[in-house]
Amino acid sequence: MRKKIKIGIIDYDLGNQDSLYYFLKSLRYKVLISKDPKLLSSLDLIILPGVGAFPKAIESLEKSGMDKFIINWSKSNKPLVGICLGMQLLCSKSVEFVETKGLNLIPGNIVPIANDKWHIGWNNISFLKSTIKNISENDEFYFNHSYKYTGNDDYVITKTMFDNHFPSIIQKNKTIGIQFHPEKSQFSGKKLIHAIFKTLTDD
Amino acid sequence: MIKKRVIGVVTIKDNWVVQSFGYKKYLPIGSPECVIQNLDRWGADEILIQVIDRSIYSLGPDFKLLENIAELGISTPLVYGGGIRNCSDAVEVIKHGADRILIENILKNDLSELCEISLSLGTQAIIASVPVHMENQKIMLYDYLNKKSEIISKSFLDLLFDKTIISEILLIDKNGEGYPGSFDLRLIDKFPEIETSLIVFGGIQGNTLIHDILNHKNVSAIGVGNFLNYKEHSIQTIKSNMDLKYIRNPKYNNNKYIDLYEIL
Repeated sequence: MRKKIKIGIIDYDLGNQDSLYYFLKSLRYKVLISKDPKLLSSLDLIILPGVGAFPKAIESLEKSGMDKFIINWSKSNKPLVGICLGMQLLCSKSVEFVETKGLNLIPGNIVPIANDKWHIGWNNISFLKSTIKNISENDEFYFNHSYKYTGNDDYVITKTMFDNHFPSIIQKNKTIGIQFHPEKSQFSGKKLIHAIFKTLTDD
Repeated sequence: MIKKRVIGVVTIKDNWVVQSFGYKKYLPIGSPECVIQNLDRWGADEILIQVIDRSIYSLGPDFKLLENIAELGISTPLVYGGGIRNCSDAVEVIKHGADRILIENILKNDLSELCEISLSLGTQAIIASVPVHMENQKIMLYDYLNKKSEIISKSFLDLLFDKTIISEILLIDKNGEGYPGSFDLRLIDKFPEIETSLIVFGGIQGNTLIHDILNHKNVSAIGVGNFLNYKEHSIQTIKSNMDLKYIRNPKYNNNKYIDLYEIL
């Protein structure tokens, strides 16, 4: 019988946390939205969601003290997943609006997509590493961003083609960042979420 | 390669999904939750909800509706428009489960609030709703609150094309809305050459029309409203007649009851 993974969604006043919560509930996970480090500490996996702009999000994390909790959690090699803006926050810095330091858990910077374009809609991913099982390059996922990760390929699991190839899933140890929205990618997203959770929590 | 999208547009009035005809006449379809669940099940690329009576009566966004939709656990991207008055409303709409917002009145009336929304949510989350129609070979901008049209001004266009504020424009054919195959292609042809992508909506039905619209470089998506509700699996029906190089493969999401752990 599979272990019932307990998941915490970090509440930091920016992000589509409700849709993520009910999406995970529909997949029969135990889920909690919280900004209380004590509550979150008892869980198996933490998600940093995000729909918004980088500077406001970092400001909000710092204000609530959640930045320190996330850094300690990741440095203890506990499973952490950042989604969309949540992925970008895991990195060293971003130049969105104004240069802002990130949580620096995955080395690399967040820079604009070429020609200040937006990458909005459904696209494929191609694998550089085989960390995540059972996802095919025919699976399509929902992207909605105008900034992207740039950094060492050692941290890059998948890339996606849009003008040029850019990293769409990055990882360092048990911290994974996903540039797109698996919770909004229908069946492909459900498969991916299960596969990533399994990868991070199987010991 | 990024795909062009087929967006299910859900128009809500008095808490009911309605068919809308040219911003004048409305016929009830059913409950929002039921219609939205269908679009999710049928694999719409995005669902756009426009609650058309929230701004008229200064009611603010319909958070209860958003809560009800979130509880459905749908996994299709959601755009919400209706009653968003300020940045605080916009942030709450996202927290309640929408991925992007659709704005119209703030665009015309409150530039500083619009900038604040952009700073909080990022431009990728902001879509401008622009109802238009052709009159004497000119594009007219329709204001649904005072029910008047005027020539689209240069300052308004500059705002629409400001990449630091808006990511996509929902270009609505006000006259074609609700009438099958009546979208006026001149609205795209005569719309200024821009980098901001267009989502095109209003009377879009029929393979040739859809093909012609999606062939435009600036069009990133089509919105379909009333016509989706006439038949089961209508998203698949539309997509099965389109060139697959443009669009996401039409799939019927019939895996809801499969235990994903079994297949992994």
